[in-house]
Amino acid sequence: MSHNDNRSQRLTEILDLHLHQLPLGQPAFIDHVDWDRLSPGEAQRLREFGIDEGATVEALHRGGLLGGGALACRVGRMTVAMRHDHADAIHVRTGPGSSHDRGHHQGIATAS
Amino acid sequence: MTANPLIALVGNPNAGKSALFNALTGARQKLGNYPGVTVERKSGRLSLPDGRPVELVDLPGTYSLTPTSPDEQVTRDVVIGRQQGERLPDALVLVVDASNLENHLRFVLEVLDLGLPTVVALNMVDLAARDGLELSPESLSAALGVPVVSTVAVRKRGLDHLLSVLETMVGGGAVPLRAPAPAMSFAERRAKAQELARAAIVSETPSRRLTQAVDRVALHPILGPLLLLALLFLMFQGVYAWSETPIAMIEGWAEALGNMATTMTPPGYFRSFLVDGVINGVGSVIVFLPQILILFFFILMLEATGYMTRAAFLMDGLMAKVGLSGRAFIPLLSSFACAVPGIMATRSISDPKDRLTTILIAPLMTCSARLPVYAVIIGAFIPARSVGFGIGLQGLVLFGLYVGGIVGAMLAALVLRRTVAKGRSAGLLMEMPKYQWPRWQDIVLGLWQRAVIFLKRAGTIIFVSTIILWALLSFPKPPQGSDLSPVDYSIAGRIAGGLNIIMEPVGFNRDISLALIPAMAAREVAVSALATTYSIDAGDDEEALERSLGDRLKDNWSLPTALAFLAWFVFAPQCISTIAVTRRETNGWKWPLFMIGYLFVLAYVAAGLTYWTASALGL
Repeated sequence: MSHNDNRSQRLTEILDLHLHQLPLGQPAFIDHVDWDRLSPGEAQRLREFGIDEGATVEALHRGGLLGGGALACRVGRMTVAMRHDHADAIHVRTGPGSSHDRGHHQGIATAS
Repeated sequence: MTANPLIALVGNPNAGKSALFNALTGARQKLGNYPGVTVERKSGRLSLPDGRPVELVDLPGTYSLTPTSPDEQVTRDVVIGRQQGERLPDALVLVVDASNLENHLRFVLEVLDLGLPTVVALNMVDLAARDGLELSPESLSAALGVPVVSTVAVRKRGLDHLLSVLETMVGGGAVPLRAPAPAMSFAERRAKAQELARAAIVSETPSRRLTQAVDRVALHPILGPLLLLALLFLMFQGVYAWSETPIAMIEGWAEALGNMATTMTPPGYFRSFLVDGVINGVGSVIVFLPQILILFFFILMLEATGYMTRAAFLMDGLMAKVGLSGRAFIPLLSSFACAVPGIMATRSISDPKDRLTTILIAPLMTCSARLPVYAVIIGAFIPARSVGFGIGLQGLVLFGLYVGGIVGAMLAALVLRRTVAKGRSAGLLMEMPKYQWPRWQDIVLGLWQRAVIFLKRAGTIIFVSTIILWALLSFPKPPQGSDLSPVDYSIAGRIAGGLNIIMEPVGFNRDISLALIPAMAAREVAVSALATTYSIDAGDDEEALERSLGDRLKDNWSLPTALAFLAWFVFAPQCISTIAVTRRETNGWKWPLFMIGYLFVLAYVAAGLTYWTASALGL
């Protein structure tokens, strides 16, 4: 656990991350999305899920033995699954003021 | 006659739309198709509190009115009155997930801009409460300018209120259109939706979130796949273990019916037709109803609880390796029940190459119609003993056959994606709904619909092909003193004799070749065909007639032949319904013909390898 905390701490100081680099359980807000890297259909679906500039996201699970590069993340009250390619096009920002009090609450929940 | 008013259910996927539809219409549902497209139309009748009948239609779920699939296109076209074969609805019920208001309200705003009379069903308020969310439908209603009703479709709560609101909306002649609001941009709608959602939330207390707790195990990198494997294994063991008693019951009835028919009819063609053809043939298929229902029970439960998307997530890496989307997992898993709905479910895959590959490999998933074939052969040739840990050998072999189909499908996908369906994989992008305990009525209704479809097939396709086969097997009769058996002398025996030249090298005998022909109509006919063949072959030999199909197979087949037959059915070209749905979904004969061809080659090679290996091992 302490190892994870340290990692989160360190990453908090990095400003620009891709969504798939975000440690699990750490909320962040979406800085920008490389829409050009996505097909129009994928871009539309992501927006419909609420994944857009300014939204708060949190990586929840990564694909395991057979899951490969899949990533499950929370956006708003939804859990959305996506592949590495999509998560790579999403740039997130962590650090002060990005995750509000909900993020703080989550941080505690994950550590316990 | 003027049509009844039409009410359409609209909403995001996972808003509980289908549960609401089931709760409102019960078993009075009609399944059909929209003309020109392969999108299912689900409708039902219900009565308003004042007794007026209305038609309710459940439109495909969508996240917005900008369609990305044929299903979503139908929803859009219906609500703007442009769908062929559907009138403009008199009213809409917009189903939203109460615990995901921010997102669903954006779609609500988009639909409200159309100006149709609309009521919002704030569904699954119980799950929202479980998440510590208390909402005010009144303030939401005031902000949106349309009625908002709290519902819990799975508990039938709020339905009376919803119907009384609908009562004021429909009828009375002209549709009172509200003035269409000026259209907002996507971003404006989202901002407005968030603002509305915040205003509607009375209180929000952090609470233990069940879904997250379950997901910590279900989506765990190691525990998750193990759980999935365990669930699939339980499913296949259940198919065997739980079906024994009901199968014995049905067998008892069929036997009693056969005996009754034998005593009540004079010996001759009619008795042979009734007992050997109809009762024996159709009965040997109906016997598998319990196993099919158990399989469907598992699939319906996995879908209704929300676990199915988790399975897709867990399998995505494997699917990606063979060039498929994790989304393909859902149609493929449905194909275990039947390839027809499986192939239809591929519509949710937006990438055409991804979709084509999924369609082409769907028949390799062992459908429930093959279960009777497997069950009869396994029952006859694989000893019913335990291999330890409470695992039965028969269940294990069955599991192995399913795995064989899956591995075959993955390899086929790998090859197809590099040859005929070359292209970049579109990937996985989906919502994972909250877990919820399904309403048992919905599961029962689902099982009932499957049972009716299965029995209809047994009563039509299987009945007719059994009769044709009986006739082909019974005529002409061998002359007195002929040393040929009745079957060898018959028309069918001669056709099979010809076909057997091709099939003999892979260990098949004449009876199998004979069974393969009608099995094209429906897989399970292979069993009734064998039953009919051995029944006629036994002639009036009372002792032989009393023996079960399994025992007769054991007398006539070697173990390598039986194993080769099983291997054949893992890959065998599909039934006519699958070929027809493939033609419809791919708009032509090119792909269904390709599918038949490659599956035939696979099946032939698999049967051959199995037969030669088993023979070489001296089995």
